[in-house]
Amino acid sequence: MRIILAEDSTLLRESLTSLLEKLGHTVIATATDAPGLVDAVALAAHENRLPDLVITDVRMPPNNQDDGLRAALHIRRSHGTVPILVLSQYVADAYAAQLLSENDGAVGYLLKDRIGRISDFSRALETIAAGGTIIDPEMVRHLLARKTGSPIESLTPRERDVLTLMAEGLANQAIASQLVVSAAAVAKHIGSIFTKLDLTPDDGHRRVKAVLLYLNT
Amino acid sequence: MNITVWRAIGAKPWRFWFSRWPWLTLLYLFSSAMLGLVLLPMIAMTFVFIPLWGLAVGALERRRLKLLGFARIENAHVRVGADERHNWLNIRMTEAATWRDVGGLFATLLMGWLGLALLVVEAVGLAAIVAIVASATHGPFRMNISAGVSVEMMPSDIWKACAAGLVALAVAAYVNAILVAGQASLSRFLLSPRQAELERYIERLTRSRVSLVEAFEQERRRIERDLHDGVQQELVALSVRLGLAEIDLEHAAQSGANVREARQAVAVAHDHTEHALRSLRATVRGIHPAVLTDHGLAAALQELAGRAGLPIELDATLVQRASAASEGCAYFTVSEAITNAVKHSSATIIHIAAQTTAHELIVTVTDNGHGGADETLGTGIRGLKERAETLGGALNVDSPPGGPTMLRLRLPAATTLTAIAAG
Repeated sequence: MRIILAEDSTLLRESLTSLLEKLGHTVIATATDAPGLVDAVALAAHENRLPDLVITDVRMPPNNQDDGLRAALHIRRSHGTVPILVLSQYVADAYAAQLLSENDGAVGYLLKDRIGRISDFSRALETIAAGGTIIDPEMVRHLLARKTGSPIESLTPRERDVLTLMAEGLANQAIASQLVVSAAAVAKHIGSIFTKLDLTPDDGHRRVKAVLLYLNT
Repeated sequence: MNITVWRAIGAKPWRFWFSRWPWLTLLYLFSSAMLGLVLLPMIAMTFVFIPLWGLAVGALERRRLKLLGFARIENAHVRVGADERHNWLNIRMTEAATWRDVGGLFATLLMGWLGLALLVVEAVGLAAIVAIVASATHGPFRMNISAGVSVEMMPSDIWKACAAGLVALAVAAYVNAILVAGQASLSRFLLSPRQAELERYIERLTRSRVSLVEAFEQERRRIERDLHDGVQQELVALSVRLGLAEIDLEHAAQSGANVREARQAVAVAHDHTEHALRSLRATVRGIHPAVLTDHGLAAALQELAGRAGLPIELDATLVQRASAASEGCAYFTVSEAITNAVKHSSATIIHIAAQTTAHELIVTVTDNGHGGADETLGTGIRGLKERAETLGGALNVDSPPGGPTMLRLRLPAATTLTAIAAG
């Protein structure tokens, strides 16, 4: 994959670059702040060679707030569906909600802690680049713990497990093997989740919307 | 109640003459005269230090006034703290009170010399009468005062001279007292603090307390940023390097090398690194949550609610951004309230409502626990209460035995210094 990476910490930027290269990807550009990232993507777009994936830190210069996230939203608005993975030091609904509510798929929000688990991280990169949605497991746990009075409450514990894994971007088969049930059982649970959350097949992207329900209710 | 010199003068004359007041006023007059005598040459020699002389004499005069029965008058000067001691002279020179002290210094000088003159006249007069009376007891006495004017005294006239002496003493007592009382009133007028100065002093204290809290908040944000930019990134980078090492070792294992122990060691190191990252994240959150700075109270409370370990109903749709100090105070108050509810009240649900009005940020936290929380026991809540009050708000805890516990926090939405000054 051709990747553009934005991270202001030199140490981490270099570690990530060597990791991505080890995984067989090419880092076509790096940026150390939010405007740098926007420029790098614009330049790639100008050459008609948009990256397969953009990885950005949430907190970056110039304001050292959620500049990286804003840059990501800006890129999505101006260049269409460029897959984006946002890395964060914290679990914060506000960050993720902004990212996920504006985009259907090809986005990810992960804690930086996950990068070190390289096979999981690599799988997450592939999922996002392929148009999937990845939400950090801690984020999902956090959301499940918080929600009261929403349709999410009507889910059975098993359905919640399935939804959690869906949010992590797993396909039915992977969910089935993780929960040690049959793929048919998983499909049944998912159907039941969609019904309880009132998502009809016409909605499209039902998997993403089910996850978004946590964020927006 | 203290009787002041003015009341003594206004009393019946015979009561005045036989009270301690003639003696007290004489003493005061004498000390004034001595002060005038000593100060004049000293000031003349060191006139550039006049403001300092003013401060010193002002302090002395404030004490000396007590001799005349006046209540102690408050120091009109701003108190200079230990941290500002290097700036003492600068603060004093810019105070109106200092220049009033200088006015007081000149009043002391003038009145001292007036007093001295009065004392000399009185002493000479008294000495003359005593001398005349003493001389006349030995026979007719004649004294030339100046050319053409002379006093003749017969032994039979001694009683007249004595009577004249007594009248002079009686008059002198009143003259002394009136002069002294006049000086005292002038000193009191010059040396007392003005109402406006007291108000300014209170304002200064309030400002310094608010800026202390704001500095505290800023410091926490700085520490959070430093940890985020420094050690957190380093730990993540370390975790990535360990992950890479794991991949290398895996490849080595696949090609037949015996790296079992090395893989185990790296895996343990990796676990420790992740653990360190998690604990550091928890610590940083306790210092200052980044989301509070970036997205404000509603988002930060949502995040807090997600970690509470107990169902939370959060109603924070009407919250606007407030000052950093107020947001920080509100966040940590809610955090403390949740901790207390989980630890002590056996509550099963907590309701949090936050809203901002035109000028205020209002947060209530209610739990369905058994109540009985004594706010004097929790140092956490007590500290937060002080913090709220410093910012110009209030924190009330209502927790009757049997519950429910309700905590209500009211803070100004803007805690800028101008807002405090205007309020």
